[in-house]
Amino acid sequence: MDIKILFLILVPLATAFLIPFIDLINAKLRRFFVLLGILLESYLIISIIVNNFQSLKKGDFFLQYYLGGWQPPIGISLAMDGLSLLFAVITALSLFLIVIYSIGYIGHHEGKYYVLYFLITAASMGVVLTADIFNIYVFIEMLTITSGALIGFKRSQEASAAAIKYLIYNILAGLLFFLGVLLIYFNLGTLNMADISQNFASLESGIQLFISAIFLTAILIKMGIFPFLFWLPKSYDTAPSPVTAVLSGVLSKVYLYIFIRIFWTVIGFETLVTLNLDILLLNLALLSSFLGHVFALQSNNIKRLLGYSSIGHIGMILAVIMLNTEAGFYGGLLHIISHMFMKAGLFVACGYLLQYTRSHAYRDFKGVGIRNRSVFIAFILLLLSMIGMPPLLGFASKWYVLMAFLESGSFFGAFIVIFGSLTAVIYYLRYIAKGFEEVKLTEADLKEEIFSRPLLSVLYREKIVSFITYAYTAIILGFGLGFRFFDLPLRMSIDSIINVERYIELVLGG
Amino acid sequence: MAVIWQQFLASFQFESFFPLLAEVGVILTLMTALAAWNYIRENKFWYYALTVVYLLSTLVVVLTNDWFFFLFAWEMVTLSTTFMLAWSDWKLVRQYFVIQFSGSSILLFGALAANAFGYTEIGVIDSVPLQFLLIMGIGMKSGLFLFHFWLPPIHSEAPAPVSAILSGWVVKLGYIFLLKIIPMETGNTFLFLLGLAMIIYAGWQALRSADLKIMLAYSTVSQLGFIALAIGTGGQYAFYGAVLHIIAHGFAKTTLFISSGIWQREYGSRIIYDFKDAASRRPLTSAATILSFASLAAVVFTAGYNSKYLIKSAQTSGLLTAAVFFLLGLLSFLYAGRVLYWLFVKDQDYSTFFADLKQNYNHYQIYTQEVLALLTGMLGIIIIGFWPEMPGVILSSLAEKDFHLLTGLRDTLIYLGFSAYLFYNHSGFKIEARRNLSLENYLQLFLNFLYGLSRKSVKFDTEKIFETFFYNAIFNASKKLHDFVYQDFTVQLLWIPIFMTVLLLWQQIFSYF
Repeated sequence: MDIKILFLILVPLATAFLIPFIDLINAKLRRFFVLLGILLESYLIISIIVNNFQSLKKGDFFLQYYLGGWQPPIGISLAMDGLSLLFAVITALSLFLIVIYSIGYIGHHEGKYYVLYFLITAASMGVVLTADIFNIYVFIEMLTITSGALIGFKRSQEASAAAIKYLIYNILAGLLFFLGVLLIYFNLGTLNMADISQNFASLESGIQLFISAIFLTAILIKMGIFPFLFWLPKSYDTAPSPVTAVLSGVLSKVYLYIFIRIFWTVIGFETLVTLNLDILLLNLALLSSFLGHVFALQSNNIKRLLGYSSIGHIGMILAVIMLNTEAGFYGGLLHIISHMFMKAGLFVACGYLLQYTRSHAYRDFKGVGIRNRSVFIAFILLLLSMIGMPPLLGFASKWYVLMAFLESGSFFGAFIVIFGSLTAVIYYLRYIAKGFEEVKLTEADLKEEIFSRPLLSVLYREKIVSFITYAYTAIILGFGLGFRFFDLPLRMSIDSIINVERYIELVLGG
Repeated sequence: MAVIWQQFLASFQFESFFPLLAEVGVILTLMTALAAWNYIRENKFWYYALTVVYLLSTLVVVLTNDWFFFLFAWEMVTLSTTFMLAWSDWKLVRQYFVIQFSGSSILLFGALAANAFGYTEIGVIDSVPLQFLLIMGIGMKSGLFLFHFWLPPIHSEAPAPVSAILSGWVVKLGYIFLLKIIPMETGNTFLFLLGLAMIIYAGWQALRSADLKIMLAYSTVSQLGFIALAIGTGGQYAFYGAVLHIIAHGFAKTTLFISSGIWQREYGSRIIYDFKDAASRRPLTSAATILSFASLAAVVFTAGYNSKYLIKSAQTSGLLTAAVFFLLGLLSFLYAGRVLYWLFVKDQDYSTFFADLKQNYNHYQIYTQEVLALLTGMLGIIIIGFWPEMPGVILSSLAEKDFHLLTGLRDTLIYLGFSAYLFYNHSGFKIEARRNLSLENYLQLFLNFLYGLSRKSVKFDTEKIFETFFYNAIFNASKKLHDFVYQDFTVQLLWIPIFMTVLLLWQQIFSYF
């Protein structure tokens, strides 16, 4: 019993609900209150790590909290093992950086923004920590609705269209997920993940297939793997930059966590193997990665391009995890971490660079690098990391992914990794070159610039915004040199993915 | 972090020829650094910072036996030399970057393959296909035949000290790598043939060029051919010859490129027909040029003679070998001698030489740093020319080796007479200087060839060729695929039931395969 993990969810939730009341007192206090909330969250995480450092080192780290004091098969419990801890830490770090960025960036309707943002924080923490499958469904819906509202935050026509498309897809996915939860409940009479995992093999294979198929479809829609990638670039493009950073940096990784939890812990990978679905999924993910990179080549919009490259990377991560080898998990989890920081950093930098441009289009990218030289250099470093240049974090993770593919003899996968890097060189270099082109402003251009743009989102606090960009670049550089730092947490989480019996025993018996 | 650092330190190998080669690399870099002191005038600090990065990473490339650090350091060499080109033109930086990194990708692939086949450390590789892959990998970086197309434009356009670095040492790194991986007993026939082709083709091109720096760049390719041929031959003396030739050519070419920078500043031109009164204007530079060209042409008592003799002696002896190597030597002698002929013999008046010298001595400014650099180069050539066993313990067995100096002297005299005859009768092979020797021009020619298969030649905008042709092809192809996949919203949503159906019927579908 450790109440801290309950507070990990409660603190952002309480912050979200208290923000409107703070607004009633004084709107300027809001910013400090937001900071207080996120700092409290970070303190909780750090104290969890510090207090349990010995057990972390020994590899028997496990925390649990029974809500209302009810024991697991009946009551709802929160559980934190190595995998959850890793995801909780990186999610919290990413959200921490982005909330500081938002303080500088979001200049209007701040109250609503922070409420939605903290609901996302609470929900992603909840997804990562809960040990109950219905709870996961609830938190997923929370994520969907809040992020849908944030995508339409600009209230332009495109933003609303993108938000509606996003909501249609994701609520359908949520519906399918709910159907799966219902089927599990009617067949097994339990919702606790450990309990389901114990009894899942006793089901008929038809029901097993149906449940797996439903969960698979739901989660693939959420992640944006090939047949369902259509909502992703559009919503990445129209959302404000910090929201895009959250969508790409945090939400897609949280869905990857759900995928790992459900298909390794709850349903079990052997089920997928006996149903022959693993080969299908592996190749589908690689195809999706291929398509993502190819689509990125034709994109004339930098944020859409980054969205397509996200599809490419998430497909690659999914594929390398589907290999179900230790090296595969190692590379996959490391790439999850590095992609989280690189992509969030890129969107954050985009938010700064595109502040005065007419649109996100390629032709308007002209001269951006000359105007904001230092941020553009940070942007280039992040892009190089996406490509996989040696001293940066992207190289280390791509190397492990490549090695995992080669080790298990999946040459299509190895090809996709190298293909992704090569196409990335092509589509990023184009933008870098454009960024350094001189702009010759004519009178007509100037007029169009002034009249086409209601200078709404002129940055509120420029220093904070550029600082966060540098912080991301520093993370990429620093951990690129010291990627061995992740060795212990990665081994720990791989251990908790593979040892399903230990998880069941601890959740039910402890 | 600590682990990587320890791995890094443990990966150094101080065995065989490589410490010697590393020392030579350091000396050559210091020479170019000296010469650059007066040549590079803007942003001097950054130039020297890049030089330091370059120096450290070449040391790692030469000495390490770990694939990762090797590749990493080589990329650092590429990056630092790439940015050195910026002192001439940013266009060169772009072109060099693209070419070098496309070369690296092949090398990376080769290294990964070698790693996967169990060669976890850089060492002798027995499998011939793997050797082939790695030779292809270094091909682009070290200018092997057919991959050398970028070398003359880039090396001739670069600032003189940077050309000296590139031509003198960076291209050699590939051959040093080959020294590590090609087994000494067997060699590699493919490499031998490539080397032969390089010597002949690039030698012919060097003979045909009027521009000093282009001629030097082609002669670099030609001399690299000797190294490739030596490594391809296999055998102890061939490898010694390769090592010695790397050193000899390094000294000679570094000196030549440094002096080419001096000539260029002196005459405001790079065409060799314009150089008049060279000897009296710049006596020391003239001496350095003559000595280095003598080394390239394998005149006795220079470094080049010893290395080429070693390479020759390692071949299977016979009439054909003797004839072929005699002709190869003649080719080198011709292109080296032609430049000397234009610089110091043709239309020169030496009657008032000493008066001119005296006048010019007071007239011209002499930079100490450049003089030092040239003297170092000359010293290197002479020392290795007289005592080939001097550079290190590893080559000490060369002290007993008979270099047949008299035969060498005979050959040199025959070459001299023959080439003098040719030059006087063909007015020194005066050929119009080729304009626009650049990679864009090559691209233009290539595209015109492709286009000309069907119709007349077309003028391409090569400056924007990436944007207009290459990128558009990729762009349009991916756009087609994108539009094919992105149908309207109903069709997009239709994927969900289709996907579910496929999953549910997957058992049946799977059983068909």
